[in-house]
Amino acid sequence: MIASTYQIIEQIGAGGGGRVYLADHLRLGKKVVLKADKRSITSSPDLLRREVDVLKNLSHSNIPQVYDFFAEDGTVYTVMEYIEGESLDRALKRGERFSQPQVVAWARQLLEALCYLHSPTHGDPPRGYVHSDIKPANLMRRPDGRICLIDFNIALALGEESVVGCSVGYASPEHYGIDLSSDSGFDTQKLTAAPDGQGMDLTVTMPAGKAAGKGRRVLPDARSDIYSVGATLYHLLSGTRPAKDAQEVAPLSGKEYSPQIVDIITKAMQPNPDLRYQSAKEMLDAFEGLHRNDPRVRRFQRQRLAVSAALSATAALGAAAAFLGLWRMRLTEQSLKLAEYAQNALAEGDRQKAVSLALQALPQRDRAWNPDTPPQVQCALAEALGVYDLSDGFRAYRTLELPAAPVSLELAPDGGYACAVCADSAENTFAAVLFDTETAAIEASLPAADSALAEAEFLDGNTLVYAGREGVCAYDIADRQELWTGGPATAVSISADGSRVAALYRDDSFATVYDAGSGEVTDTVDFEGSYQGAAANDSFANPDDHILALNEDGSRLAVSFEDGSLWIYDLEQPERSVMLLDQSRASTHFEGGFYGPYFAFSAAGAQGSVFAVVDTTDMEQTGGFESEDAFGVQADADGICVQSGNLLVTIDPVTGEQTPLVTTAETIDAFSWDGSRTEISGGNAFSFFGGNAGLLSRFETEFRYRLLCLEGDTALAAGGDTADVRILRFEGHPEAEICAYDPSYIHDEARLGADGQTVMLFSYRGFRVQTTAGKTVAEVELPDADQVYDQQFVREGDEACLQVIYRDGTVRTYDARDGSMLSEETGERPDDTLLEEFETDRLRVESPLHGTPQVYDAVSGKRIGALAEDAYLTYVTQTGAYIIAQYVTVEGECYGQLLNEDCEVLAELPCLCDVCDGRLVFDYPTGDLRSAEICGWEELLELARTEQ
Amino acid sequence: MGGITDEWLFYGGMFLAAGSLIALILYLCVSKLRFARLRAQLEKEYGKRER
Repeated sequence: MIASTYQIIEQIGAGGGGRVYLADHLRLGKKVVLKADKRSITSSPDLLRREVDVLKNLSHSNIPQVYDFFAEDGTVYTVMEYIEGESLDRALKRGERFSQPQVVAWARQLLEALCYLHSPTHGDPPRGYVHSDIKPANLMRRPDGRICLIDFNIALALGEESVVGCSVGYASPEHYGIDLSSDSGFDTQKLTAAPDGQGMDLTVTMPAGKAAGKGRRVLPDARSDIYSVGATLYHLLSGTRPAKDAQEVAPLSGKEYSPQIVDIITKAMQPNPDLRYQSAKEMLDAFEGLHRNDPRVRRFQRQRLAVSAALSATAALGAAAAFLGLWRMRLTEQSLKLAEYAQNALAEGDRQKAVSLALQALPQRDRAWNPDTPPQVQCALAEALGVYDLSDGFRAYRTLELPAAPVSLELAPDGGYACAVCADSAENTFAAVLFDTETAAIEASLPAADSALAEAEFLDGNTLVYAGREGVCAYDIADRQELWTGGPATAVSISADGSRVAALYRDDSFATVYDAGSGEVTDTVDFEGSYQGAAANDSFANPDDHILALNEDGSRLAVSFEDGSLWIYDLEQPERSVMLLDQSRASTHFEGGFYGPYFAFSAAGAQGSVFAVVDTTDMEQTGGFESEDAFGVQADADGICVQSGNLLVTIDPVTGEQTPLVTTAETIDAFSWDGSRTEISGGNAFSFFGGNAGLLSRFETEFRYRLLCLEGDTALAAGGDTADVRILRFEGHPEAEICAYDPSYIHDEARLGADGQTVMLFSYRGFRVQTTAGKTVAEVELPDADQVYDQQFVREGDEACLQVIYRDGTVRTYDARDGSMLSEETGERPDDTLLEEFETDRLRVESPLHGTPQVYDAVSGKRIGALAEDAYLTYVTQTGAYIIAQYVTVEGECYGQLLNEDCEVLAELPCLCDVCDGRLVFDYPTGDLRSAEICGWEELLELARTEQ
Repeated sequence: MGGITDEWLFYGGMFLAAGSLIALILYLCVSKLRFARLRAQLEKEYGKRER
């Protein structure tokens, strides 16, 4: 019985510090452990009591509860919770070996307990406690497999230096009072414990050469517990108790046990406490990080990160490349579309829009990732600018869209303004739409008479006379105001001298003549019941079906009537008025006008057509003819021209002599003649002809254009199928002229001589040599022209010649300067099956007699592309970075293509005949040889931007 | 861009991106299996990892 409270059951342990008993707590009725410590406690009772109170408050799942602490009969008793189980040293003594995972689990439990114990949270002031005697014997294995750290040494908590025990193998050097820390000043120390393990006198033996002396005394601390934990784990793992001397402990095998665990235990058992884990938490973290810090895990994670990063980067790179490729493809597609739109706009007659669209097709060149300009864009821009069209002719300028398809169209004498009468379907009215031909902007929409017969004419470049809704009206274009208004009118006519305006309303049987300047009525012409008239609904009536025309000075008025008659009224002497045609012919369509004193007209009806010219001075007919087909007639201050079928001629009213203006293959639907040039329309095309009935320009169209106007360098084309009005301008390029020749001389090719002073025009039939000044030097007919196989114009250095190759192998060579024959040789017959080859610096072109020329790389032989397939390739020339291919069409027309080194077309070169010293030479049907430099990309851009 | 056309860039990039993604997915699946095996090995050596 101890302290009248505890009944000893049995002794369960004994050691250097005392005995351990299992006892019954008589009052609590439960088993407790009594640890009897023989060492004397020198602390004061108060301190003792305080420490007991602190120890009793310790609570951790791996530390037994301390219930009490008392002294009796010189023995200090610690009363603790009884932990059921077995101490690990017993298992070790039995030879039981523990698995590494089990040891790791116990290590964590033990260190958690130590973390709790060491933490400075206990008591007042708060402090931590060192166990100081950790060993397998003080680790109880419970039935559930967990361990409990027992045998807590309260003496150390009290700071008693005399009560520290040293369990051999598990005690740290500090237990022996040896300080091996880094600042101890000792290099090597060998521990020698006192024989009885008691007392604190230690002898430190130094190696030879060093002074021996007493060691510095030190008390165990938390790091000493760490050492003991390490030693305990060492024993549990290896089954071998570690050596007493910390510096002689045999290292654990890294092959038998996990290297990480070996490292942890080795570090914990460092003789130098500064090199151990500095806290239980640190060592616990090491165990808890076993999985995480395992080299294999780290290596795996590094590898996974590297591979994932590499693959992700590759995927990102691929995505970026795909995006870039798609972006560039989209931009290129956009450029190609815009280039196509530009070509469409040019085909529709709007050159400004074509240039604008071609400029929009350019990718932004200041961004490195944008694609290069597609060659199609350059081609569209060159075409829109017309840089390689040096012919004199009309070019598409702009296209204007009217509110509706026009029924009539007039152009001012100076070509600056134009007026179209068209219907306003929304309001069911008609309007005279005035527009500027320079800007294609509508200047005014003037309300016109409610009839498709409403007409408009220009008095001059700034005054428009039109059949307004309130009556015939004179409108000042610049001031945008009406000058005067007369009576109701549909038809309007102005005298050639601009002094008089005649107007009549369709249903009225009279016409009114006004002073053009003031609008005062100067005359009224009574038709005695006749009227021009139309059906009740004349929305589709043709204003060109009737004649209302004043002569040059306004003294005579020609009028056609609904009954088919045609009259000329003499305004000065009305009695001299004459009926030129009576109702008997039942004519329904009249055309005509005055040329000086002559009145020319045509009348068409059920009985056919008639054309006549009448001298109004004596009202005598001077000429005329009849036909089944209708005649078109234009008679004005420029002269008289008549059209029938596909012919258009001028007629001398005196002699009747006819001079052709136009000869075409198709029937002429409409025409306009300004005294020097002619505009005609036929089918789905309209064309322009110059002097000698030579074709200047031709435009294929989607619609039929039947309203044509031509004044000087401005032309208009409009029609009933479309609301568009095409505005065209004449362009001449005399500055590019090399020489002019007689266009009637038939030839297939034209070449410049080596000196640039002569021109050779040649064909299989013969050739002509002339100077660039136009003087003919020689004209030769080739013998046996039908036996000519081929001709080659050769220009080398200062010499140039024409080689004529015959089918029998004869080759005749003629001097290009004077046409003299230089030589005649007989050679092998030419082989029709042979390919013709052309070579440049980088390319080789094979041109079969029948087939598409193929282009190959001159070095590798790799096929690059093909040239035009619908024409015969005649020459291939390289000029700098450009390649020029020359062709002859089946119709015998020559043209060329400007190509880049990849054989992509950069420009079409119509009428190209020669390439000389890097300059392009063009041969036009008008008998003009002209030349131009090759326009580079930057030049094209500059031109386009200037034009915009 | 030399001889590399935009089509090469687009289709090549798509192929590279798709191939890399597929390879990444396959690799992650295989590495998951490998890690599971490694974890089992670690648990055998160190016991179960306490979270």
